Amino acid sequence: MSQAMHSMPSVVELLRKHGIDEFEVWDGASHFKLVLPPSEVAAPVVTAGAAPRFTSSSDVEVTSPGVGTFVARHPSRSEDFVAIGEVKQQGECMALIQVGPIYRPVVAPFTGKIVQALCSPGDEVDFSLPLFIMQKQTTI
Amino acid sequence: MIEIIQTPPLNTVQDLGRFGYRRYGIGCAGAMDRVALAAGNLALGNDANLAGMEFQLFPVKIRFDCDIAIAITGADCAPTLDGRSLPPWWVVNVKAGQVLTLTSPMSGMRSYLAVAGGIDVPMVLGSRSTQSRDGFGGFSGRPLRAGDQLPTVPGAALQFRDSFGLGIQPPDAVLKGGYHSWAGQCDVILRVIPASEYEQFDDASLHAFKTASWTVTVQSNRMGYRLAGPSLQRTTPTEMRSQGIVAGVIQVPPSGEPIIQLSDGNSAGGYPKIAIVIQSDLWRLAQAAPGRSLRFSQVSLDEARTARAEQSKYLQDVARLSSYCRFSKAHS
Repeated sequence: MSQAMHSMPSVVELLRKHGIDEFEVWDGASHFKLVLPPSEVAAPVVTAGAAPRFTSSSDVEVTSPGVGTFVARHPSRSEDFVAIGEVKQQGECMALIQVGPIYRPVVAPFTGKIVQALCSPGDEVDFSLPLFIMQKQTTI
Repeated sequence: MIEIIQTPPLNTVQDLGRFGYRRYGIGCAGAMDRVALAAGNLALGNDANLAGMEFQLFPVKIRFDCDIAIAITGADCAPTLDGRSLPPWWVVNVKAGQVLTLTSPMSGMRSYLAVAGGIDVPMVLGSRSTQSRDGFGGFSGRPLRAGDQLPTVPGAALQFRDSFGLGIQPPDAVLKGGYHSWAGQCDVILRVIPASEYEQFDDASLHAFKTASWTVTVQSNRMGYRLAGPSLQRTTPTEMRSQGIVAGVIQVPPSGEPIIQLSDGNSAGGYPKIAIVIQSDLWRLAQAAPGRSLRFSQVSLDEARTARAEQSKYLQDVARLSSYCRFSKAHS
């Protein structure tokens, strides 16, 4: 157990890096559980242009909120969430990341045009893996 | 509090049903698509049996008077929240004053709205389901009307890992269902096991029952579905005493056209029973609108048990994996 306590800082770092907020391990008699507060694992959604001011038209990667399978189309719908060239409003759902029967949403971080999809349906994706390239709208 | 701004008739408050009173002539009521209601409840961290709303006619408009987490499941009714589109089978927090709009599904028949903590109508005979024919349970024992204010429990907003909420994979994408060699792609396959009067039907009828395509007629509702297809006849028709019946029982009246008893079905009946739809396929029937074709596929009791186990596992997975996308209220 003292070994586990010793390696805790690096465990926390790993959890943050991979977007995991809960970690639990049993080893014979000992039991180790670590829970990070939700705010500590927010995905780095926008990698360019930190301020929400539309200074120039730039391509921005939209990343995965977690680990799972990339789903481009809801099974109850006949069309994908997004089409290349389409403009999505900030907060609209662009795709899903599936784990078992649960979907996490990939949400447009700003209003902009979908330039490119970087994943195919069924791809296994990791936390913060780029899924789409979006172009910020210079004029709103 | 949740206010109904607009609703056609026949939309009701339902939980998973009122059991144990059939001997007094009181049927089970409850959601027609129990998987949809249970999945919505479980994804909210609710008990599977909490009361939600069942919508079978549209459009529906609802205003929330408090911050609350909701789940929309069942047929895809293109839900919008203050005009912003939500995916089907979605779980999300809504804010006080927001308006949810549901429109007629393109496919499927019934949609469900579950809320964190459940719709807080009084428990009557062990259930919050609306007993439509007898006029009790649910909201004042009747279908919902514009202006109704449905009580909810306080503090029902949840904290989700993603502010946009989470989705549930619909059961038709997970649970594989029965197999019928003649079924077309759009046919609903229902697994059945023979019921007590099965042996009394003539060979031609038994063959037709298992091979024909059966159409859901417009005389179909929460009580039961009347089907159109070949006429089913017994070798020697005899009068029967009334016997207890449950949801899923397929009765054959003298006309020869089968009736499947459902949630608001009678507690007893005297028509011969040819078969029973396995409980794990009743949600498929609940989503089959008039005009849809049904096929009956005979299975063994073991296969029915396997289907039940698969359905339970799906619901357990929804409960367990959704819990990782919700934080307990202690965090908020």
